[in-house]
Amino acid sequence: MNSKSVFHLISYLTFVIGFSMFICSGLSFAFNEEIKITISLIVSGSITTLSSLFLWLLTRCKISLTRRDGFGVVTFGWIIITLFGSLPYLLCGVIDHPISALFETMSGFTTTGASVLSNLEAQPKSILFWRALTQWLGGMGVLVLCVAILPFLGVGGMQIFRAEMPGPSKDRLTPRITTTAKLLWGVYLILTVLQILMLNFFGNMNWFDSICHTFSTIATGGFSTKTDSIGAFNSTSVDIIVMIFMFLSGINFALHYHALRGKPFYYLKDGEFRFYSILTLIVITIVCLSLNNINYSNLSECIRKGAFTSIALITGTGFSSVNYDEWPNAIRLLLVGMMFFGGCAGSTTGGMKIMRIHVIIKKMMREIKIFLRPTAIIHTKLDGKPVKTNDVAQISTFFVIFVLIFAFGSFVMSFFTPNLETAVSSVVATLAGIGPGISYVGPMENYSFISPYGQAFLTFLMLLGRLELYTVLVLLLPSFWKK
Amino acid sequence: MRIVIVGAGNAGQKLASRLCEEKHSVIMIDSNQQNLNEAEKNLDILSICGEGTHPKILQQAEVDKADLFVSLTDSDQINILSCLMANDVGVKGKVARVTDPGFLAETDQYDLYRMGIDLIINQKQECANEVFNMLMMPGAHEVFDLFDGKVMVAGYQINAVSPLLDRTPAECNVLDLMQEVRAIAIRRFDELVIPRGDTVFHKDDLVYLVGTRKQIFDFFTWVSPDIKPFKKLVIAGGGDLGLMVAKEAEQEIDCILLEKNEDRASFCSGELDKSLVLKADSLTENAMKEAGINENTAFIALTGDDENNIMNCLLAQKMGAAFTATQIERVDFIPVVEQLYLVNRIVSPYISTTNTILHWLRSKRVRAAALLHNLPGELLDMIVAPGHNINGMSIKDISLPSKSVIATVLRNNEVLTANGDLKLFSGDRVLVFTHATEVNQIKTIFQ
Repeated sequence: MNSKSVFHLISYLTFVIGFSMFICSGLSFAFNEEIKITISLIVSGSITTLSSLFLWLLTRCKISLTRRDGFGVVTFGWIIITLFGSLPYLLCGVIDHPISALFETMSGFTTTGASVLSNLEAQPKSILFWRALTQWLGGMGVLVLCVAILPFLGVGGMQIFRAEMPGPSKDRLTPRITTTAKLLWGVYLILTVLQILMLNFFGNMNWFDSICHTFSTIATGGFSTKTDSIGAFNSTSVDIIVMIFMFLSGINFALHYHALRGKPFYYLKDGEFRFYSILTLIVITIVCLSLNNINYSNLSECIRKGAFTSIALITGTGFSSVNYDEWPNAIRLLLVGMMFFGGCAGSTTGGMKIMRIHVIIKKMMREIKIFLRPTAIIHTKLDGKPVKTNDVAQISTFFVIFVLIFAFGSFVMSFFTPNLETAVSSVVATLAGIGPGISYVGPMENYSFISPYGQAFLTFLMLLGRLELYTVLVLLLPSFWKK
Repeated sequence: MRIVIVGAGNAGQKLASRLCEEKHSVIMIDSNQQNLNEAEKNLDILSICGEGTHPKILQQAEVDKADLFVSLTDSDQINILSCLMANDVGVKGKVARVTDPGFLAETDQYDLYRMGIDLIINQKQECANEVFNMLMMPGAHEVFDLFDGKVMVAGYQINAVSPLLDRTPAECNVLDLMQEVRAIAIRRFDELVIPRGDTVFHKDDLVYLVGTRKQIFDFFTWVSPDIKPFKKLVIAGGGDLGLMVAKEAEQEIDCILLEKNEDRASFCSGELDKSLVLKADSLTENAMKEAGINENTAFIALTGDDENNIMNCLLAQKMGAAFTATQIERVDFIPVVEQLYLVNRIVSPYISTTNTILHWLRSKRVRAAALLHNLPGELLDMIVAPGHNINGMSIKDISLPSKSVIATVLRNNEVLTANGDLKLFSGDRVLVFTHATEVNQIKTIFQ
C-alpha cells in the first residue's frame, strides 16, 4: 500500500470534517447556546483541522493510487473521520463513554441512524445539527465529494469511487469519474434543497428542523431532532413529504440525473426500479391490510402509518411515525426481513441492494431450470441483457457473506442483549444501515443500554455494511499488506 | 451495363449468372481466389482478387465507370463502406446487403439511404418474417405481408379435399368469403395462369390469394379446418436466420433453439427472451428427444448445411413432427427435395436476393411490393397520379396486358376489394400482379 498517498488524501477528508465542525460552532453561537458548547465545538474543529494540516504537511507527495490503495483510503478514511467526528460529543459532554461517541458518529456517517442519545429535545441544537450533518456527508460519501472537488486525483478517483460506492451497477454518467461524482452530488444537493423547502412551506416545520430532517431523509439516515422522531410533528403533510423523499433516495441517483435532464422514462425502463417499486407496494399492502381494523380503525390513518413505516424500513432510513414494535408479530418479522433488502444500487440506502436480490432470484430460477435440462444454455438477465458470470458469482458470494456475518453477528450480540429479537434485529439494523430494530432496540428505544463491547462490535458492522463488505474485508487479507 | 459485384459467395455468383444471361458486363471482386476461380469457370466475367474496400482494387475495377455497384459480402461493414466509396466516385446505383437490423433502425441519424446507398437488402430478416408467417398460417404455401401488414398475399395448394377443387372463381363467388379474398394467380406445372371467371381450379394448383390478414386467416380455416396452429417450434441452428426466426416466434409460441457451438448458443441465449436454447447437436436423436418433438411441433432446420438440414428434417418427421421446413442454399437441390416431398417447405434466402436486385434494376421507379418465390411474377405498388386518364375509370374498363391483374386497392389506408366495378381515383395505391415481362407495360399504363 502506498501509505503516503493514502494518508495525504485522508488529510483532505479530515479537513472537510473539521470545517463542518466550525459550521456547527457558528450555529451554536447563533443559537446563543451555553459558551461551553460553542467553545467545545471550536476546540474539536481546531484539533481536527490542525491534525489534517499536520498530516498534509507530513505526507506531501504526488498522489498515485492503485486499486488496493483505493480500499485503504476509504476504509482508513472512514475510521479516522469517525474518530475525529466523535470529538464534539465527548467535549460537549453529551456522551460520556468514548465508545458510545464513536458508535453515534459511525451511525451518522454510515447513515444508519442508530442512537445512544435519549431525550433529544434537551440536547444542544448545534450537536443535533452535527448529527444530521454527519449523515448528509456520509450519504453520498465524503470521499465521493473529495473525488468531485479535488482536481488532482486523476485515475485515483476511480479507485476511490469504486471502493466507496461498490454497488453492482457501474453505469457511468460521463466518461470522467470526477464529472460523474460532481453530477451525483449535484443531484443530491437538488433533492436536499427541494425537501428543505417543501418541509418548510408545506410541512410547517421551522428551518432548523427541516434542514436536519432533510439531511436525514436524503441520506436515508434516520437521526431526528425529536425523541419521537417524525411522529412528534403529528402532521400528515410532513409524513407524506418525508415518505416521498425517502422513496426517492432509495432509487439509483443516476436515474434522477436522467430525469432532471428531461428523460423521466428512464425510471420505467430500469428493471431494478420496477422491482423496488413493486416490492414497496406489496409490503405496504400487506402491512396495511393486517393493521386495518386491528390496530387502527381509521383506514387513512392506517395507510399513513403503514406506508410510512414500510418505506422507512425498506430504504433503511429508520424514521418512525409510530411505535411499530406494538404491531402483530407477522408484520414485525416482515419488516425485519425487508431491512436486508435495502434500496436500489447507486442510491444512499444500505442493505444488500435490490439489484443483488433481483440477480439472485433470477440466478435461482436459472439453476432450477438447468437442473431439469442440463443441456440448456440460460443466462441470468437484467433488463434483457445477460449479467456477466463473474458478476453473478460475486453477487451470490456477497449474499452468502452478508448472511454469514448476520448469523455470526447475531450470535455475538446475544451476549450483550436481553433477548434474541433484540440481538437479531440490532445486527440487521446496523449492518443494513436502518437504525431502529425491534424489542429493546425498537423505534422508541435506543442503543445506550448495550455494553461498550457490544457497541464497538455494532460500530464495526455499520462500517462493514456501508462499504458493502468487500472494501473492508480485503483489508483482512494477509496479501493486502504484502508488497 | 457495367456492373461491379463485391463478394463472390453464393448470392454473388447467383446474381452474376443472371446478369450474364442478360448480356451485361460483370466484374467480380473477392478476397478469396478460390471463390473467383469457381465463378470464372462457369461465368463470363472479369475477376479481381482483393478487398472490396481497397482504393487500389476499386481503381483497378474502374468503379467510377460502372453503372451499378453491388456489395454482397458476409460483412455488413464492408458492404456499407464499399457502397459509400462507390457513391463517392459517382456510381448511379449502389446496392448493399445489410443483415444487422440495427443499421436500418428508423432514426434520422445515420440513415444509410441518405448517405447514398440506393437499395439495402436484408434478405435474412425478410426470410425470417416469411418463416414466421408460415408458422402462423400452416395451411398456406407462401405468405407475404404488404403495406405494413394491412394486406396479405398467400399461396394455397389445392388438395384432394379442397372445397375449391374443380370449381371456377365465378362459382366460388357465391360465398361471402370468396368475394373478399381474390385469387390473382395460379401456378400450374411451372406455368403461370391468370385466373379469369371461367378458369377451373385443378388439383395441385398453387393459387395465390390477396386479402386482409383476417380474411386470409378465415379463408385458411375454411379450406383446411383440420390443420391446427402449432404449439411449439424447434429450430436447429442458431445462425443469423435461426436467431431472427426465434426472436419473432418466441412472442407467439414456445420456441426451442438447438445450437452445437457453445459460444454461439450462449450468444443466442443472451439475445433471446423467452426461448429455450439447448447446446446440442440437432442430428442426434437424444437432442431431438430433449427438445421434445411431438404432433404439435413444427421443426425448422437452418444450420446452413443443406445435407444436414434435409437429414434433420427427416429425423424430425420420423419422431412425429407435424411440419418440417429446411433452408437450402444450393439451388440444384430445390427441385429434387420438392419432388420427393421430403419436407413441407423450403426456405432459400439467396434466390430472393437475386430477384430483388434484378427487379430493382428493371424498374427503378416502380416500388416493388413483393416477389413471389414460386411464381415468375411480381407484385407492383402503383399510385394513380392526379389528372391521369385512368382517373375515375372502373377496373373492368382498364385494358391490362394478358398476364397482369389488379390485386387490391388501398384508399385512405383502407383495403378495398378490387372487383370489376370499383372505380379508381387519384391517390389510390393499386397493387398489380404482373409477369416479369410486362412490368414496363404496366408502368406506361399508370404513369
